[in-house]
Amino acid sequence: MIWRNPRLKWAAIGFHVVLIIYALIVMFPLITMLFGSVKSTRDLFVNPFGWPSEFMWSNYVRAWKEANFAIYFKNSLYVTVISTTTIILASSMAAFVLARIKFKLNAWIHGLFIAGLVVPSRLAIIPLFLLVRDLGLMNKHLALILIYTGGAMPFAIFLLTTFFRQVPNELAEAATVEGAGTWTIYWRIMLPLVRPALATVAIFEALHAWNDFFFPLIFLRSNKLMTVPVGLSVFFGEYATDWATLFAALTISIVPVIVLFIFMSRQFIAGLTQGAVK
Amino acid sequence: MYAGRKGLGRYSFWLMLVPALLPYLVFKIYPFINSILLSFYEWNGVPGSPKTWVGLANYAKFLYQPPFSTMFWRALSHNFIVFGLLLMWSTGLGTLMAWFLTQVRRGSSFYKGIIFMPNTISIAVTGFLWSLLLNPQFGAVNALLRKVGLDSLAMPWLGDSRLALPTVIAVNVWHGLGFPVLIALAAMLSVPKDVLEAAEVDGANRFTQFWKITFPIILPNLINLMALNFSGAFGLFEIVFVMQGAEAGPFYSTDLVGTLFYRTAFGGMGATASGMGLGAALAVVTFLIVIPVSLIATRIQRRYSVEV
Repeated sequence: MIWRNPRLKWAAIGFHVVLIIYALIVMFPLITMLFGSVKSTRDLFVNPFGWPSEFMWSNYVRAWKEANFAIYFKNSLYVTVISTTTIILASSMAAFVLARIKFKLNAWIHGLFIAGLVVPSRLAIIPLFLLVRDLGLMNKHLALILIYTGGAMPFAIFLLTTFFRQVPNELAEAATVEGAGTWTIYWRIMLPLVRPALATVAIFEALHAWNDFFFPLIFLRSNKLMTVPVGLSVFFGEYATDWATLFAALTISIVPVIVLFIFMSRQFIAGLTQGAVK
Repeated sequence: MYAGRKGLGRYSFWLMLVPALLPYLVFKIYPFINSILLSFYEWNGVPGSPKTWVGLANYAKFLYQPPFSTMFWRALSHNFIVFGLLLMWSTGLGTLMAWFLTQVRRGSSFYKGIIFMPNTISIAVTGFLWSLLLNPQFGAVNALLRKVGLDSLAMPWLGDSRLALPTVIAVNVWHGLGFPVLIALAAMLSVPKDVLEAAEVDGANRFTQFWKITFPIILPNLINLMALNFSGAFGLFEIVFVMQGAEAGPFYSTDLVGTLFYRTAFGGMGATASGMGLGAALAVVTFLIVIPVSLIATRIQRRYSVEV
């Protein structure tokens, strides 16, 4: 239909050209970074974006060992895994109760969670800072985990309640007749049925925890505890002239997420678009 | 529904609400309410130091008492410039890209994946990467421009006070463009195919099809994207902090409400900063600016969706 007319064919080629140019704009910084990460610093200044004249893998060793990236990576992984697991468990339990159990305060509590969708967490950073300090959680990963968990509840509960409500009632009723309790119905019957929604929440919140810069910047003081993005900022201060190592460090920060994205792009896109509309 | 057991067991489901309610109330709701309360006090945040009720004085400082009012209005005007840039570069360019994606037969999911990819990178890490690329002497961007003979375009992108803000926002759009593209694309794909085909039979070219059919249908989604641009401009902090520092240089030319808020709360405003109360007042003002726009956009979107 579109190709009937030769003039339209040329238009289609024009669309491809524009899209390819934009794709190159996206790829240029990433490819420059990859090439830069294996160049010598001298090579980098003579030849900023071309193919490396020799491969200096030692840049990665320097970033990983001397610049503490092994530690930052481990910290990021720890904070991300613990907070995502906590978020999934806490929000799915609450969403299950709010979607399937009738009790007096149900609508009220649900509304309280949903109201959080319009409250930007960062604007409350001053009282949050005072609270974390007074609870003795300053410079602890637990502060980040608790903040991510509290902040994730509105979106996670909003999404999961919708999914829990769609599960046919017969399933749960049959289980009740068989003598299953509330917990068994949640864990054995309901949770497996909402797995796609759990994946959406998990990807969005894991990426948020992994990529976050703001809360670690405010709450983490010692170098040993920093996550990758704030660790990178320390590193950029210390190694300001060692560009090759900076590129290697950037590659270590960026590539794992992009590789995951390439393998699971559909889930990523679903998670990020649904999460960001909130 | 299933909580039919008698006695205390009837209330056991409350235990399943606690792990969500507790962190939510303590780390999200309480700080938010406390922000409003704190904005009426003058306090440096140090435990045991005097906390004085000052009424609306903190708000007055921001709204019409220099030097804070100068900083506030300058940052606010930058926020509106950023909003304008995002309307063009995020919603505008995003819609255009999405439309191109609907017009090509092959490769659209490949392009979509590439365009969306930067979205998965941390915004702070994106800022660090681009600050190297945009370095005036050794950066790859200027090297590339010189190589293709566009020497006159090789600018000090981040060092010039007129260029710095648009440059930082361009980097932000590089990071985030995938989102408006996907939203606009999803909206365009919901346009009934037979309507477009009927228009084509009647001789409408693809541009007329877009303006007369697709655009009016996707307008509510575009309005929603614009509202997100507005609140997004007020949420910007990391990209400026990473690329231009807490002082949002050169000469505060990239200072946004987000960076001003950070400096007010955590220092960098010099000896005149009175700390926590002032920062809280700025947070409340920001909240009052952002929330009505989001609510109005949701209303508009709801009304249009019913009509279509």
